[in-house]
Amino acid sequence: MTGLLALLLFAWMIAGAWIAITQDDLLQSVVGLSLVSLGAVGQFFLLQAPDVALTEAAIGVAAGSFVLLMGVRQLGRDEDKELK
Amino acid sequence: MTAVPLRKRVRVKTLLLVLLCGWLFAAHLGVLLQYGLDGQSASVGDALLARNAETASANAVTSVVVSYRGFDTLGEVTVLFLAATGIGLFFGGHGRAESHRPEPPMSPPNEMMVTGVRLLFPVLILLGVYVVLHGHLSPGGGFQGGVIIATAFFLRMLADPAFRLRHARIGLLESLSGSGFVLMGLLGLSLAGTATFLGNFLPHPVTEMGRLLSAGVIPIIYALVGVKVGAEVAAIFGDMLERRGQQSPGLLGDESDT
Repeated sequence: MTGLLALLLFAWMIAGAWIAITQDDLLQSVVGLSLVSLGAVGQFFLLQAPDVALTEAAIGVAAGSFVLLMGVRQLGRDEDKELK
Repeated sequence: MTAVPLRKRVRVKTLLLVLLCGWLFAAHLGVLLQYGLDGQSASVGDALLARNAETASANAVTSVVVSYRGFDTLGEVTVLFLAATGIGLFFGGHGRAESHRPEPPMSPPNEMMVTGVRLLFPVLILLGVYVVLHGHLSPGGGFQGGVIIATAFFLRMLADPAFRLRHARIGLLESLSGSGFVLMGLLGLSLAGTATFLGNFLPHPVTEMGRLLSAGVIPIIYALVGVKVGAEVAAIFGDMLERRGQQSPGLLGDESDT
Protein backbone atom coordinates (compact mmCIF):
# COMPACT_ATOMS: atom_id res chain seq x y z
CA MET A 1 0.00 0.00 0.00
CA THR A 2 2.79 2.38 0.91
CA GLY A 3 4.70 1.40 -2.19
CA LEU A 4 1.67 2.05 -4.37
CA LEU A 5 1.20 5.45 -2.74
CA ALA A 6 4.87 6.24 -3.31
CA LEU A 7 4.53 5.29 -6.98
CA LEU A 8 1.45 7.50 -7.31
CA LEU A 9 3.34 10.37 -5.73
CA PHE A 10 6.24 9.80 -8.12
CA ALA A 11 3.82 9.99 -11.06
CA TRP A 12 2.33 13.15 -9.51
CA MET A 13 5.75 14.77 -9.20
CA ILE A 14 6.80 13.84 -12.72
CA ALA A 15 3.52 15.23 -14.08
CA GLY A 16 4.07 18.46 -12.14
CA ALA A 17 7.62 18.76 -13.47
CA TRP A 18 6.29 18.12 -16.99
CA ILE A 19 3.77 20.94 -16.57
CA ALA A 20 6.48 23.23 -15.24
CA ILE A 21 8.76 22.58 -18.21
CA THR A 22 6.31 22.50 -21.12
CA GLN A 23 3.88 25.26 -20.22
CA ASP A 24 4.32 28.54 -22.03
CA ASP A 25 2.30 30.35 -19.40
CA LEU A 26 4.76 31.03 -16.57
CA LEU A 27 1.99 31.23 -14.00
CA GLN A 28 1.03 27.63 -14.74
CA SER A 29 4.71 26.68 -14.68
CA VAL A 30 4.90 27.95 -11.11
CA VAL A 31 1.80 25.92 -10.29
CA GLY A 32 3.50 22.84 -11.73
CA LEU A 33 6.60 23.46 -9.63
CA SER A 34 4.38 23.81 -6.59
CA LEU A 35 2.81 20.45 -7.42
CA VAL A 36 6.28 18.87 -7.45
CA SER A 37 6.90 20.24 -3.96
CA LEU A 38 3.52 18.95 -2.83
CA GLY A 39 4.45 15.48 -4.05
CA ALA A 40 7.76 15.78 -2.19
CA VAL A 41 5.79 16.53 0.98
CA GLY A 42 3.98 13.22 0.59
CA GLN A 43 7.22 11.38 -0.13
CA PHE A 44 8.91 12.77 2.96
CA PHE A 45 5.88 11.77 5.00
CA LEU A 46 6.03 8.23 3.62
CA LEU A 47 9.73 8.12 4.49
CA GLN A 48 8.74 8.83 8.12
CA ALA A 49 10.24 12.30 8.19
CA PRO A 50 7.31 14.53 9.20
CA ASP A 51 9.62 17.37 10.22
CA VAL A 52 11.14 17.57 6.76
CA ALA A 53 7.67 17.22 5.24
CA LEU A 54 6.43 20.20 7.25
CA THR A 55 9.46 22.24 6.21
CA GLU A 56 8.89 21.35 2.57
CA ALA A 57 5.22 22.28 2.87
CA ALA A 58 6.01 25.65 4.41
CA ILE A 59 8.99 26.61 2.27
CA GLY A 60 8.72 24.62 -0.96
CA VAL A 61 5.00 24.81 -1.55
CA ALA A 62 4.16 28.18 -0.02
CA ALA A 63 7.16 30.50 0.31
CA GLY A 64 9.08 29.37 -2.77
CA SER A 65 6.02 29.61 -4.98
CA PHE A 66 5.29 33.08 -3.60
CA VAL A 67 8.78 34.28 -4.48
CA LEU A 68 8.43 32.86 -8.00
CA LEU A 69 4.97 34.43 -8.34
CA MET A 70 6.43 37.83 -7.48
CA GLY A 71 8.92 37.31 -10.29
CA VAL A 72 6.11 36.34 -12.68
CA ARG A 73 4.16 39.42 -11.68
CA GLN A 74 7.10 41.69 -12.41
CA LEU A 75 8.36 40.06 -15.60
CA GLY A 76 5.11 39.06 -17.24
CA ARG A 77 3.35 35.77 -17.77
CA ASP A 78 4.51 35.02 -21.30
CA GLU A 79 7.63 33.00 -21.85
CA ASP A 80 10.10 34.65 -24.16
CA LYS A 81 10.00 32.63 -27.36
CA GLU A 82 13.55 33.53 -28.35
CA LEU A 83 14.88 31.68 -25.35
CA LYS A 84 13.35 28.38 -26.40
CA MET B 1 43.10 0.21 -41.75
CA THR B 2 42.71 3.94 -41.91
CA ALA B 3 45.55 6.24 -42.66
CA VAL B 4 45.40 7.92 -39.26
CA PRO B 5 47.59 6.02 -36.80
CA LEU B 6 46.19 4.80 -33.54
CA ARG B 7 48.07 7.24 -31.32
CA LYS B 8 46.47 10.15 -33.22
CA ARG B 9 42.96 8.80 -32.79
CA VAL B 10 43.19 8.06 -29.09
CA ARG B 11 44.89 10.71 -27.03
CA VAL B 12 47.14 9.23 -24.40
CA LYS B 13 46.36 11.82 -21.74
CA THR B 14 42.61 11.33 -22.08
CA LEU B 15 43.04 7.58 -21.94
CA LEU B 16 45.16 7.85 -18.81
CA LEU B 17 42.61 10.15 -17.20
CA VAL B 18 39.79 7.74 -17.97
CA LEU B 19 41.81 4.84 -16.57
CA LEU B 20 42.61 6.83 -13.43
CA CYS B 21 38.94 7.72 -12.90
CA GLY B 22 37.93 4.11 -13.42
CA TRP B 23 40.56 2.91 -10.94
CA LEU B 24 39.42 5.48 -8.35
CA PHE B 25 35.79 4.50 -8.86
CA ALA B 26 36.60 0.81 -8.43
CA ALA B 27 38.67 1.53 -5.31
CA HIS B 28 35.89 3.57 -3.72
CA LEU B 29 33.33 0.97 -4.68
CA GLY B 30 35.43 -1.70 -2.98
CA VAL B 31 35.45 0.36 0.20
CA LEU B 32 31.83 1.45 0.12
CA LEU B 33 30.26 -1.88 -0.77
CA GLN B 34 31.29 -3.37 2.54
CA TYR B 35 29.04 -0.97 4.44
CA GLY B 36 25.59 -2.04 5.47
CA LEU B 37 25.95 -5.65 4.36
CA ASP B 38 26.13 -7.01 7.88
CA GLY B 39 23.29 -4.85 9.10
CA GLN B 40 25.66 -2.61 10.95
CA SER B 41 24.20 0.87 11.01
CA ALA B 42 25.58 2.28 14.25
CA SER B 43 25.67 5.90 13.23
CA VAL B 44 25.35 9.26 14.90
CA GLY B 45 21.58 9.08 14.53
CA ASP B 46 21.30 5.88 16.53
CA ALA B 47 23.57 7.22 19.24
CA LEU B 48 21.49 10.39 19.51
CA LEU B 49 18.22 8.45 19.55
CA ALA B 50 19.52 6.24 22.34
CA ARG B 51 20.27 9.18 24.62
CA ASN B 52 17.31 11.33 23.54
CA ALA B 53 15.56 10.86 26.89
CA GLU B 54 18.07 13.07 28.67
CA THR B 55 16.69 16.16 26.91
CA ALA B 56 13.08 15.26 27.86
CA SER B 57 11.95 16.39 24.40
CA ALA B 58 9.32 14.11 22.91
CA ASN B 59 10.39 15.02 19.37
CA ALA B 60 13.86 13.60 18.82
CA VAL B 61 14.50 15.81 15.80
CA THR B 62 13.99 18.91 17.88
CA SER B 63 16.42 17.77 20.54
CA VAL B 64 19.03 17.29 17.81
CA VAL B 65 18.30 20.59 16.08
CA VAL B 66 18.16 22.75 19.18
CA SER B 67 20.26 20.95 21.76
CA TYR B 68 22.92 18.71 20.23
CA ARG B 69 23.32 20.71 17.03
CA GLY B 70 22.20 24.07 18.37
CA PHE B 71 25.30 25.81 17.09
CA ASP B 72 24.44 24.69 13.54
CA THR B 73 20.97 26.15 13.98
CA LEU B 74 22.54 29.45 14.96
CA GLY B 75 24.56 29.30 11.75
CA GLU B 76 21.46 28.56 9.67
CA VAL B 77 19.59 31.48 11.18
CA THR B 78 22.60 33.69 10.44
CA VAL B 79 22.63 32.53 6.81
CA LEU B 80 18.94 33.38 6.53
CA PHE B 81 19.64 36.79 8.05
CA LEU B 82 22.37 37.44 5.48
CA ALA B 83 20.02 36.39 2.67
CA ALA B 84 17.33 38.76 3.94
CA THR B 85 19.89 41.56 4.18
CA GLY B 86 21.06 40.95 0.62
CA ILE B 87 17.52 40.93 -0.73
CA GLY B 88 16.76 44.11 1.21
CA LEU B 89 19.81 45.82 -0.29
CA PHE B 90 18.99 44.58 -3.77
CA PHE B 91 15.38 45.67 -3.82
CA GLY B 92 15.57 48.60 -1.44
CA GLY B 93 18.36 50.29 -3.39
CA HIS B 94 16.30 50.26 -6.57
CA GLY B 95 13.26 51.58 -4.79
CA ARG B 96 15.12 54.54 -3.35
CA ALA B 97 16.66 55.52 -6.67
CA GLU B 98 13.34 55.40 -8.47
CA SER B 99 11.26 56.90 -5.73
CA HIS B 100 11.04 60.28 -7.47
CA ARG B 101 9.42 58.74 -10.50
CA PRO B 102 5.70 58.22 -10.08
CA GLU B 103 5.13 54.49 -9.92
CA PRO B 104 2.06 52.85 -11.41
CA PRO B 105 -0.42 52.10 -8.66
CA MET B 106 -1.12 48.46 -7.94
CA SER B 107 -4.41 47.12 -9.12
CA PRO B 108 -6.74 46.67 -6.16
CA PRO B 109 -7.08 43.08 -4.95
CA ASN B 110 -10.30 41.39 -5.85
CA GLU B 111 -13.09 40.60 -3.45
CA MET B 112 -12.37 36.89 -3.16
CA MET B 113 -8.78 37.54 -2.15
CA VAL B 114 -9.79 40.08 0.50
CA THR B 115 -12.51 37.89 1.99
CA GLY B 116 -10.40 34.75 1.90
CA VAL B 117 -7.45 36.41 3.59
CA ARG B 118 -9.73 37.92 6.21
CA LEU B 119 -10.78 34.36 7.01
CA LEU B 120 -7.33 32.77 6.69
CA PHE B 121 -5.12 35.31 8.44
CA PRO B 122 -6.01 34.49 12.09
CA VAL B 123 -6.08 30.76 11.34
CA LEU B 124 -2.61 30.88 9.79
CA ILE B 125 -1.23 32.92 12.69
CA LEU B 126 -2.72 30.43 15.15
CA LEU B 127 -1.28 27.48 13.21
CA GLY B 128 2.15 29.11 13.09
CA VAL B 129 2.20 29.83 16.81
CA TYR B 130 1.02 26.28 17.52
CA VAL B 131 3.76 24.77 15.34
CA VAL B 132 6.40 26.92 17.04
CA LEU B 133 5.28 26.25 20.60
CA HIS B 134 4.78 22.52 20.08
CA GLY B 135 8.14 22.09 18.39
CA HIS B 136 9.44 19.87 21.16
CA LEU B 137 6.31 17.69 21.18
CA SER B 138 5.25 17.22 17.57
CA PRO B 139 6.84 17.64 14.14
CA GLY B 140 7.60 21.20 13.32
CA GLY B 141 9.30 23.96 15.19
CA GLY B 142 10.72 27.41 14.88
CA PHE B 143 11.66 27.34 11.21
CA GLN B 144 8.38 25.93 9.93
CA GLY B 145 6.16 27.98 12.22
CA GLY B 146 8.10 31.14 11.46
CA VAL B 147 7.62 30.65 7.73
CA ILE B 148 3.89 29.99 8.26
CA ILE B 149 3.52 33.25 10.20
CA ALA B 150 5.47 35.13 7.53
CA THR B 151 3.21 33.61 4.86
CA ALA B 152 0.16 34.87 6.74
CA PHE B 153 1.58 38.39 6.78
CA PHE B 154 2.45 38.11 3.10
CA LEU B 155 -1.16 37.24 2.23
CA ARG B 156 -2.32 40.15 4.36
CA MET B 157 0.03 42.48 2.49
CA LEU B 158 -1.32 41.21 -0.82
CA ALA B 159 -4.95 41.64 0.16
CA ASP B 160 -4.63 44.99 1.90
CA PRO B 161 -2.41 47.49 0.04
CA ALA B 162 -2.53 49.87 3.00
CA PHE B 163 -1.02 47.24 5.29
CA ARG B 164 2.75 47.55 5.34
CA LEU B 165 5.37 46.13 7.63
CA ARG B 166 7.37 48.59 9.67
CA HIS B 167 10.95 47.78 8.82
CA ALA B 168 12.34 49.29 11.99
CA ARG B 169 10.02 47.21 14.15
CA ILE B 170 10.82 44.04 12.19
CA GLY B 171 14.53 44.68 12.53
CA LEU B 172 14.18 45.27 16.27
CA LEU B 173 12.19 42.04 16.69
CA GLU B 174 14.74 40.10 14.69
CA SER B 175 17.80 41.44 16.51
CA LEU B 176 16.14 40.95 19.91
CA SER B 177 15.31 37.31 19.19
CA GLY B 178 18.75 36.67 17.70
CA SER B 179 20.42 38.18 20.74
CA GLY B 180 18.15 36.12 22.95
CA PHE B 181 19.29 32.96 21.18
CA VAL B 182 22.97 33.78 21.73
CA LEU B 183 22.20 34.84 25.31
CA MET B 184 20.58 31.46 26.01
CA GLY B 185 23.64 29.75 24.60
CA LEU B 186 26.01 31.85 26.68
CA LEU B 187 23.93 31.24 29.82
CA GLY B 188 24.26 27.53 29.22
CA LEU B 189 27.98 28.01 28.71
CA SER B 190 28.53 30.09 31.83
CA LEU B 191 26.40 28.21 34.34
CA ALA B 192 28.28 25.53 36.21
CA GLY B 193 25.64 22.86 35.81
CA THR B 194 25.89 22.55 32.05
CA ALA B 195 29.03 24.40 30.96
CA THR B 196 28.33 23.88 27.25
CA PHE B 197 27.05 26.30 24.64
CA LEU B 198 23.23 26.02 24.52
CA GLY B 199 23.33 23.66 27.48
CA ASN B 200 19.96 22.87 28.99
CA PHE B 201 20.28 24.78 32.25
CA LEU B 202 16.60 24.79 33.16
CA PRO B 203 15.20 21.76 35.02
CA HIS B 204 13.99 19.18 32.53
CA PRO B 205 12.80 16.02 34.34
CA VAL B 206 12.16 13.06 32.09
CA THR B 207 8.81 12.38 33.79
CA GLU B 208 7.48 15.63 32.33
CA MET B 209 8.17 14.46 28.77
CA GLY B 210 5.24 15.16 26.48
CA ARG B 211 3.89 18.15 28.35
CA LEU B 212 3.91 21.66 26.99
CA LEU B 213 6.16 22.95 29.77
CA SER B 214 8.94 20.42 29.51
CA ALA B 215 12.41 19.97 28.02
CA GLY B 216 13.77 22.99 29.86
CA VAL B 217 15.30 25.57 27.56
CA ILE B 218 14.39 23.95 24.22
CA PRO B 219 10.91 25.55 23.76
CA ILE B 220 12.30 28.98 24.65
CA ILE B 221 15.08 28.71 22.08
CA TYR B 222 12.69 27.39 19.45
CA ALA B 223 10.26 30.25 20.08
CA LEU B 224 13.13 32.71 19.61
CA VAL B 225 14.13 30.94 16.40
CA GLY B 226 10.50 31.13 15.24
CA VAL B 227 10.30 34.88 15.84
CA LYS B 228 13.62 35.43 14.09
CA VAL B 229 12.81 33.30 11.06
CA GLY B 230 9.33 34.82 10.79
CA ALA B 231 10.72 38.35 10.89
CA GLU B 232 13.40 37.55 8.31
CA VAL B 233 11.07 35.85 5.82
CA ALA B 234 8.43 38.54 6.29
CA ALA B 235 11.09 41.17 5.60
CA ILE B 236 12.04 39.33 2.39
CA PHE B 237 8.39 39.23 1.26
CA GLY B 238 7.89 42.87 2.21
CA ASP B 239 10.95 43.97 0.26
CA MET B 240 9.83 42.11 -2.84
CA LEU B 241 6.31 43.54 -2.62
CA GLU B 242 7.24 47.12 -1.89
CA ARG B 243 9.43 47.49 -4.93
CA ARG B 244 6.37 47.78 -7.12
CA GLY B 245 3.99 49.14 -4.52
CA GLN B 246 3.61 52.69 -3.38
CA GLN B 247 5.94 54.00 -0.73
CA SER B 248 4.11 53.80 2.54
CA PRO B 249 4.32 56.45 5.24
CA GLY B 250 5.85 53.92 7.61
CA LEU B 251 8.61 53.14 5.17
CA LEU B 252 9.21 56.78 4.31
CA GLY B 253 9.47 57.60 7.99
CA ASP B 254 12.51 55.35 8.23
CA GLU B 255 14.24 56.67 5.17
CA SER B 256 13.21 60.31 4.94
CA ASP B 257 16.42 61.57 6.51
CA THR B 258 18.74 59.73 4.15
